[in-house]
Amino acid sequence: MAKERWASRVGLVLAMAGNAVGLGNFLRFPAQAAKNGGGAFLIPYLVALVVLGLPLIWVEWAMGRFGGQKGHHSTPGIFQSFSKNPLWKYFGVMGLWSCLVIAAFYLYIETWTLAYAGYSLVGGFTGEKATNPGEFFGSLTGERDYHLFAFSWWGMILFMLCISLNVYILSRGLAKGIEIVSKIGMPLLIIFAAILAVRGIFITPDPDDPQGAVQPALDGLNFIWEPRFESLKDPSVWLAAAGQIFFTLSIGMGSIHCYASYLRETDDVALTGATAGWTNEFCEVILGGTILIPIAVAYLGLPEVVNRTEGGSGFSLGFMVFPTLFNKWGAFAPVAGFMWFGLLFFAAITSSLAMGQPLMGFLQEEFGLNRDKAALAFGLCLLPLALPVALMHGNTFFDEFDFWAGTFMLVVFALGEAILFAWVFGMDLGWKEMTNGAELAIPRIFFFIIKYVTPVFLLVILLGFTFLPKSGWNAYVEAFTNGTPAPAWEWSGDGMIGKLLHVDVEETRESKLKNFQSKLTNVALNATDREKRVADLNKRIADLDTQSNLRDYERDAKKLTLNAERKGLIDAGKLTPSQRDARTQELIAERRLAEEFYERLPMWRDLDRLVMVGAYAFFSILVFVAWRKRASKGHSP
Amino acid sequence: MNTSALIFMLVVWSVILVMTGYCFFKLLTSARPLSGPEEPSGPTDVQPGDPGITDRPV
Repeated sequence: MAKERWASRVGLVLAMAGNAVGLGNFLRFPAQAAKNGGGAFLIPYLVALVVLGLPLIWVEWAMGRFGGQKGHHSTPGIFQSFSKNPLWKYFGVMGLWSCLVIAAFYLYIETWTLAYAGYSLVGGFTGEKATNPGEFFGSLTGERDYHLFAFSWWGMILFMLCISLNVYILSRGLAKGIEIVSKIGMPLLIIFAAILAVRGIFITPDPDDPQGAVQPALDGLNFIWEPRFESLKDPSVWLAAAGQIFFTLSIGMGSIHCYASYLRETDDVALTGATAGWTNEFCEVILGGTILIPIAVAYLGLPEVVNRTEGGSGFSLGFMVFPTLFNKWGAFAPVAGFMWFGLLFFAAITSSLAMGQPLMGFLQEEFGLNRDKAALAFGLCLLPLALPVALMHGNTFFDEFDFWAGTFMLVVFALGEAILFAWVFGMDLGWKEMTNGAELAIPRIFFFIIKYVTPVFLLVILLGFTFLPKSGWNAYVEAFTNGTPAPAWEWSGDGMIGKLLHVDVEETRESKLKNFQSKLTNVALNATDREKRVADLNKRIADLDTQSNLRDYERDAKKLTLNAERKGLIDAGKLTPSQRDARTQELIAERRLAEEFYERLPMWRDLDRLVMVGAYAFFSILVFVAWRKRASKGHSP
Repeated sequence: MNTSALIFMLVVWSVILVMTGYCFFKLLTSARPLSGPEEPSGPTDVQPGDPGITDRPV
């Protein structure tokens, strides 16, 4: 069997950059920057890039190349080649497991981008008969509020096609598959993004066009880049910035190791690794930061965008709002929609291929499968995880896979590899390995950063994320520094322990039921009480003007929410008695559904976790069998 | 756009553009090829003491 190699250095860099550049560059980064202090978020972000991102990129490239020299192309073998302790290969299983679990939901999003791109191109979101993007999404996924199961024939067919496309490209191999896709996909992605960014930032309100922009797109750019240095004191901002660096560079997944394992012993990893990393930053900060928020702010206004990015995700803006916004670009609208979703598709597919290659490499090297069979095996292993993602509500398998494999375990994996490389293997040998064949002189300070700062930083992120309290770390830091009483301890639904205990489900359930109760009360109110409540809301809106601690856009965002509540109250008062009864019955039925949904959700989530544990056990058994085979053939581990 | 936001944006963009440009320049002007012709393989048996890995613990 001929050993696979990359055909060209540019191809390798584009494949690695494609692995890193994903949906998060265009959807998550701008929303995170907007949520965490705008320009000031970029300071911890760049600090994290230097002490966490670049060091881990070099570590993973060096580990991959080193393991590759011993015939290993996946993390179980690569990790084992760094230590005599046999347990490291079982820790390395995480690199196969994460890739497969993440691919299960990531490919589903990739399917959406494909569907949206095609539908945009045929003009489905433009013109008088334009489809509502929310309805399109519902039709594509078959998902309905408070229903555990979902099904859409055409969505499922498209999903299977998308999986097949990935399997086919993987079966073509590194040079003829992944590298060609990256060489086509990455330049197109950058061209599409640049066109949208340039077109976007020149949007200005036109007094003759009341349906057009409401404020200049530059206000959106200002919103992202305006330095708000007070947010630097908030530990959550530092955690968010480190988290973003982590996810954007695809660190802690095993895919970088795998790609680097196809290098030769003397091939450079320092320059190629840094090039891939900086290309990702170019796509994220310069391109990603110039599309989503500026265009959305231009057409929706800053307050609406602030409300929509409150959770730190740009998903709602990107998929539910953008197709409608492009509608305002006239004849260019279908092409703009195609470019937006097309670039998201290229970002997604170059990443999903990187998730498939480690398992391919593992099956090829350990079980002697040829490329076609290994690619097919990847598809078959993917199905048991991907089907539940598509057939169930997003709050079940999709969210659980995203949290555990796509978020939490990445940090665990990176911490483990940092310790293995710098402390078990030894930093002196590690440094020698990293700089072997280097065409870029890595500053010596990175020796100490990798040995001390990176593991400590990772440990802080892991602990901060695991034990995240409901009131946030900042409340406790302030209480400690000011000598004031700390808030009572409660787990946050966003932290690991909170998630494990289903705190997030309980929080969402309470909030939804409260919302239903409020709607029911609004419908049932008599005229006098309704007037009282409207007056109360008017007072709250007026009071916002006196709150000096709020920035203008924060005040406007809160006003927008209160105005929507007031409108709901007034509209409910216009209902006839029979309409009121019907609305009440409708709300009661919906609330019952919601109650049942949130009662059953923890059980389904526990089942998802069992599936993930089962998948880990399955790969561990495969690794055990593979090493038994190696031992019986007299191969070294 | 505020002046502070503009300056901050331009500084960060410059850092990223310079670093990306520098890396690509070095990469594209490098005389060293990435890979040569394909070589036979399979799971390899690199042993301690083999050339190039003599100072590694495994």
